[in-house]
Amino acid sequence: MLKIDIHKQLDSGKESFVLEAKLQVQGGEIVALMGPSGAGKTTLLQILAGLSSADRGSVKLKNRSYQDTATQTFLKPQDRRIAYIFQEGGLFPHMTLKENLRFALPPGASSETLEANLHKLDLADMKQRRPDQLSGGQRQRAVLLRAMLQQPHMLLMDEPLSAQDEARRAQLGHLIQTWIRPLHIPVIWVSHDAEEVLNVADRVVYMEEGKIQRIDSPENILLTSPTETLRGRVSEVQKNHVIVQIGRQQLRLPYQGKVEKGVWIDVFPLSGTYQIAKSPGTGT
Amino acid sequence: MNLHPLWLSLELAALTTVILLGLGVVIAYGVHFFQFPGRGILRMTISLPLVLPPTVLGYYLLIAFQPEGIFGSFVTGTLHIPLAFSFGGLLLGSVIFSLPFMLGPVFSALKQVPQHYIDLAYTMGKSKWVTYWKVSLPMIRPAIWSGAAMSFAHTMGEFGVVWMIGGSIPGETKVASIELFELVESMQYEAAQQYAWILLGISVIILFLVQWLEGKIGS
Repeated sequence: MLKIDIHKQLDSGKESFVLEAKLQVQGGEIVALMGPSGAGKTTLLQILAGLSSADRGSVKLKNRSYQDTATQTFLKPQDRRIAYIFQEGGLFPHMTLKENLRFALPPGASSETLEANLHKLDLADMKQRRPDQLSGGQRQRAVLLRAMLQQPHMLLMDEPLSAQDEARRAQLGHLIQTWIRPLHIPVIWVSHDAEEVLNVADRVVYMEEGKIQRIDSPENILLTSPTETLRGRVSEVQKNHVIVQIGRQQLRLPYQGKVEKGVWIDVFPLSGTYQIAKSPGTGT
Repeated sequence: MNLHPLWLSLELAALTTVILLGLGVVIAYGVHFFQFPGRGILRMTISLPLVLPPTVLGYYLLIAFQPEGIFGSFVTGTLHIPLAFSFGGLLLGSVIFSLPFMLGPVFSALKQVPQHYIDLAYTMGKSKWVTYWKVSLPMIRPAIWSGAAMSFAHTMGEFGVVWMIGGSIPGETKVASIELFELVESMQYEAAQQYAWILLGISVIILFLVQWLEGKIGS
């Protein structure tokens, strides 16, 4: 289990506030960090990775202290065995795909695993290509494969789905479920994508100005959020109602007009209103 | 036309560039990846030859190279390498004088390497040196070659420092720029013009090379 209890003074130009986070994450659990920009989500990931340090408090994983200001313990990022997927993806542009993956292998790891996984993720024919010669989907799979090859004790993802189209986001969501969850490691994932969070995350931690405001299930947080717009697909049309599938959640909404199964709908949870999406599959 | 000074200049420039390639890579690593007291002063000292009149630098080097001084007596007495008015001294002076031309492009390029690539390598368990060697350096390769080309060109045209610490000993310290100066001084204008043309040609070629490399850095 990952145990976080940290404080850090943050100064971001005009504003300054204290980042305070107290949280426990089980192995195999996927926790989504949500909240407005500048809430301290990325800083929290950096503290977990050892790329930044807390002013006060501790980070422990399976009783191993990553940082503890009481005992002046601080493990360098090199010693933490953490995989970090950055928003930018981060395949090294001067290396081929295979070189990128091999670079991530921990000492003593077999390169046979690498080859086998390249085949599984349909990347075997691409291994001599550089990142700019790969498609967006291939790069995405490669980044995820590289994180797995690190045999990490924790996975941190900073908006890995941003700047991706709908199909790629869905594919990455699926890969996270099928490839990452079986690793049974804590996964902390910064996301602004409500649908993906509903699909993939077990819990949502909602932060504002450095403080954790709520910790709850994705459904309870997102379906009562004043700021989120959710996009769902009509899975069933009933008399005066439609059933809308949003992630793993089904909503029964009153509807009088004509609507067909499969149509995309935008739902504004707090006001309880909704409308037919203008651009199905790409959001409105 | 006596081409020996030209060959000596080429030899000096080539050796200076090779030494600066190795030295520049190591110094850039230390200055970029580590915080230590006096880091700012070190950077300023490295850049000093850019603003210091070459004759002033040459004068201080000449003083340091004297066999009576601490540095001069160690190198000349203990290592048996003559410095003042010798090719060895000329080489050392050129390395010091051209160091900022090597390090300038490298420092700038290192600042442009996106931090997330460095952080990524750290989270993969890579040390600072491995990260520098395998991630940062390959990404700034054009800047390194650009710095090398600038150092080569600068050494080829060096006059003040060479004159102060090397004088004009044929076959030892009389490089192309000194030869050109002496040809003009002795009013052998035709030979001087030929020398000037050759040096200009080399400079133009290097300038094109640097521009092409800077284009690569930009992309």
